[in-house]
Amino acid sequence: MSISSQAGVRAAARPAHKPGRVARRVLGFLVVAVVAIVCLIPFWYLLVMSLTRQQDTFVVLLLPKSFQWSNYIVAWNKANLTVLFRNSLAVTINALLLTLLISSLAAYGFARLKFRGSAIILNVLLLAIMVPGQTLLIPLFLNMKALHLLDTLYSLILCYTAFGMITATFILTGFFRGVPQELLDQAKIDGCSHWDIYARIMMPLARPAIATVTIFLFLSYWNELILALTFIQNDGRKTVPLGMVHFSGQYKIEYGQMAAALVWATIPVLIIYIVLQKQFIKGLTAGALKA
Amino acid sequence: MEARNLYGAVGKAQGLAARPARRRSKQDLVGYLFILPVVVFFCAFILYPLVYSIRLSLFEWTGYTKDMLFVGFRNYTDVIANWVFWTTVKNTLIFALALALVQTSIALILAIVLDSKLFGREVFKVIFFTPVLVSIAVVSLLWGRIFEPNFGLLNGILNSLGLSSLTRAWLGDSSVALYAVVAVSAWTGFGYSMVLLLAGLQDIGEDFKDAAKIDGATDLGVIRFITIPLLRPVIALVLTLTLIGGLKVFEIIYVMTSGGPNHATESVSTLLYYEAFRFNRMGMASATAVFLLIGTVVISLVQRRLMESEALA
Repeated sequence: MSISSQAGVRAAARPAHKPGRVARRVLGFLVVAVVAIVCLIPFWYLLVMSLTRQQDTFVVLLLPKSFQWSNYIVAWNKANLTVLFRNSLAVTINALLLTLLISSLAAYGFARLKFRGSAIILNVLLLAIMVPGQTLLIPLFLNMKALHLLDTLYSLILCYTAFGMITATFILTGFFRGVPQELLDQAKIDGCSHWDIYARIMMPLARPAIATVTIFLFLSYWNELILALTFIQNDGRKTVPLGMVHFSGQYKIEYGQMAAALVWATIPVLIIYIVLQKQFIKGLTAGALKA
Repeated sequence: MEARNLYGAVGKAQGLAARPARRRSKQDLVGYLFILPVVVFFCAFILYPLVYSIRLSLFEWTGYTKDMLFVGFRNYTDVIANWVFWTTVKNTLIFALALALVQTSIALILAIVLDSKLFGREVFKVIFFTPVLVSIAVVSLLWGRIFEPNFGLLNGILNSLGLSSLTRAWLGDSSVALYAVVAVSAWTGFGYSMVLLLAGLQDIGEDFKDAAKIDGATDLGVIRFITIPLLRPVIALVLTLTLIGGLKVFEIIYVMTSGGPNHATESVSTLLYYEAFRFNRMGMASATAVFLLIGTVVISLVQRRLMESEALA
C-alpha cells in the first residue's frame, strides 16, 4: 500500500488512528473479501468440474479429484467450437465495423452539421433506447423470414447493428461536439470537404471514444442470445452462447465436458479483459453515464 | 438531455435563418447524407417492426399460414383475462424490484468500502467486474449446476456446514425459484453498479469528507450525512437502470428455468417468446409485447422526468 506525501500530511493533521477506525477498516476488508470469494467460487467450481471424470461428478468437489484434460478436447469437438467461434467472430466483427461506420457518420452529422430537424431526429433516436428488443422479436423474425435471411449470419449482423448503433451514436456525438471549432475552421479554409474533415480529422481524433464504444459493443454482440435463439436453427450458423445452450440441452451430456465447453466459451473474453481491464470498465460504464 | 441542450445552444448561436435559402438546403442535404444510414437502419429494424408489432396484435395468426383473421382488440382482452399473464407481470415486477434493491445495496456497500485506501483495492475491483463480462448463457448454465438439488455446489456446501435443513431444489421449488434467479442476476450485475457508484464517489472528492472529519464527524457520520446525500443522483441512476433492465429479463430465465416450475419464474418476456415461437399465437404474443413496451416506456419516462428534476434541484 503506497501512501502519497499529500495523504501523509493529511493523516498527520488528524488524530492518530483510533482503534475503532482500524476495526472498521478490517471489517470493510472482510466484507469485500467475502464478496470476492462468492464472486470467484462459481468460476473455481467450473474449473474443477471441467477436469472431473464423469463418475466423480455426482459428488460436490472443491478440489479436483482427477485431472481429465481430455474433457477439453472432447468438449471442443462435441460442441463444435471451431464453428461456433468462427460464427461469433464473423458476426461480432462485421456488426462492429458496420455499427462504427454508420454511427460515426451520423455522430458527425448531429454534432457538426446544421440541418433542419436534426434535434428532433436525435431525440427520436434517444427515445428508441427505451424500446426493449424483445417487443420487436416477432416482427424482426417475420421480416428475416420474408427476406430469406433466417439461419444466416446476416440476420444477426443487421439486427445487432440496429440495436447497437444508437448508444454508439450518442457517445460519439458527445465526443465530436467537444472537438474545438478552430480545428475544423482551419480545415475548411484549406478546402476540406465535410467528408475529408470526418475521415481525416475527426476519426483519428476520436480513437479513444471509438475504443470505448468498441468494447461496449463487442461484449453485447459477443454475448447476445435472444436474437440468435430466434433466428438460427442450423448447427453450422450458431454463435457461441447459442451453441452452449443447445449443447447443454443434449441428451446424455457429461458434466465435465459441459463445464469444459463453458470454460472454452469464456476464455476469449477473459483474456481480453485481463489485458484491457481499465478500458473495459470504462467502456462498459460510459454508455450508462452518457445516455 | 445534455445532447438536446447543447444542440439548441449551438443552433441558435449560429443563426441558421440568416443564411441564403439555397445554401441552407445544400447544407441540409449534406447533413441528411451523413445521418442517412442510421436513419435507414432505424426505420427498417426499429420503427417498422414497432408498427408491425402493433398491427399484428390486432390479428389472430399462427405465423405460418396465409390467413390472418382481424379480431380487433380481442387479443388484448384475452391477455388481460389470462391469469398466467398477471403471474408474469407480478414475477417481472418482483424480479425487477428485488434485483434493483439487492444489487444496488451490495454495490453501494462495496463502493463505499473500496473508495477508501483499502489494501488490494484495484484487484477487488477487477474481480467484482469479472461476472459482468461472462455471457448470460454461460452464467445461467453454470448456476443451474450450482443450484442442482442432488450434487450441486450450494446444497453440498450447506450439507457440509451441517445446514441440511436449508437444502432444497432451488430452481424446482416455486417459493424460492424466482429469488434464486434474482440472486444469479445480481451476481452478474453488482460489479457494474459498483463501478458506476465508485465513479460517482470519486466525483465527490476528498475535500467534503475531510472538512466533515475535521469538524469531528465519524466515518459512519460522513457516509450517512455527506457521501450518501451527495451520491443520491448516481444511486437513483443505478437503481433505475437495474430496474428497467430487470423488466426486460429474458435470457437468464429462459436458460435456467424456462419459466417453471408452473410459471413461478415466468416473466413477461419469456411468456411472449413462448406464445410466439412455441404455441404459434402471434397475435397474443404481439399484444403481450405491446403491454411490455408500454410498461417499460412509461417507467423509463418517469425515471427521466425524476432524474431531470433531480438535476435541476
